[in-house]
Amino acid sequence: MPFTNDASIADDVVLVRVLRYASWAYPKEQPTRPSSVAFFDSNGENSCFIANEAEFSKLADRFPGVRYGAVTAGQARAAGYYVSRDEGGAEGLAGHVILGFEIPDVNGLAKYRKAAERLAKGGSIYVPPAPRE
Amino acid sequence: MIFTMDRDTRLEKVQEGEARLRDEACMHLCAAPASMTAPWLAAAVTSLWEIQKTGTVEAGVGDLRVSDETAACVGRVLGSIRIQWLPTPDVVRVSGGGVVLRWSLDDDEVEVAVLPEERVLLTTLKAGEISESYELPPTQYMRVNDVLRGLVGPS
Repeated sequence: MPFTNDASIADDVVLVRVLRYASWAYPKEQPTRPSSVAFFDSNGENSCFIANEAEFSKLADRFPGVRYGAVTAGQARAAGYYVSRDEGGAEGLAGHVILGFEIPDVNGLAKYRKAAERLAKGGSIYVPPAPRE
Repeated sequence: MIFTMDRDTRLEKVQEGEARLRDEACMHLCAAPASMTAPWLAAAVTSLWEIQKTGTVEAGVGDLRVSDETAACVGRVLGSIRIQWLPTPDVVRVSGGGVVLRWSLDDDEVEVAVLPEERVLLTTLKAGEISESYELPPTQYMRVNDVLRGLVGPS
């Protein structure tokens, strides 16, 4: 089933992307934000998590040592992405959403690349809350 | 005695084979365009190989595998570059099976994104802002040379 924009996810909701590789953060030396490649999934479907629903201890178990890139749903929509819930898509990890981009037929990749750049520039590095004792 | 002769014959054949392979490799190298011997190319191919052998599907991140077809397409893009001296590009995996090559020099960047199904996007950036971005059909990979010459200047 194709993903569609989920209006129930408000514009101020923070979405985090697992920055799986150092190259997905920018700049390389002391990252301050995600890199555009983090939001440039080849199929236009970028896996993200709603920050206040995500279980960061489980994420840390699955992806030890990674950074997280953060954008708001509003920033994503302004850049041309849609935000869609996909609870079953992350094998038990809560708060999973698809941050998607419908790649147009004409000059679509260039438009997608520009959207990824715009989105990444508005993003930041997210530091999860410390786990409770 | 027969055993010894057989062994010697086998050894000779092995040595002949090795010599032939060496000669073929040398001939191939001599006949290759300048870019085939470029240090940046060796580094890029090594990075590409490492990326291809390590990717898996990771729920919560995406499909991080790079297919043989996509890796071959990256190889064709790299093979079309005829400039020997270039900065070593970053070779970056993107989820969904793509690979991004990125050359940076000061404030300038040249980026080639190779996505599955031979979709190739050439992008230039100046001080972090996109100057140009357009798709390249397979017949136009050589255009990457023009853009890279703009990055490094005439050699």
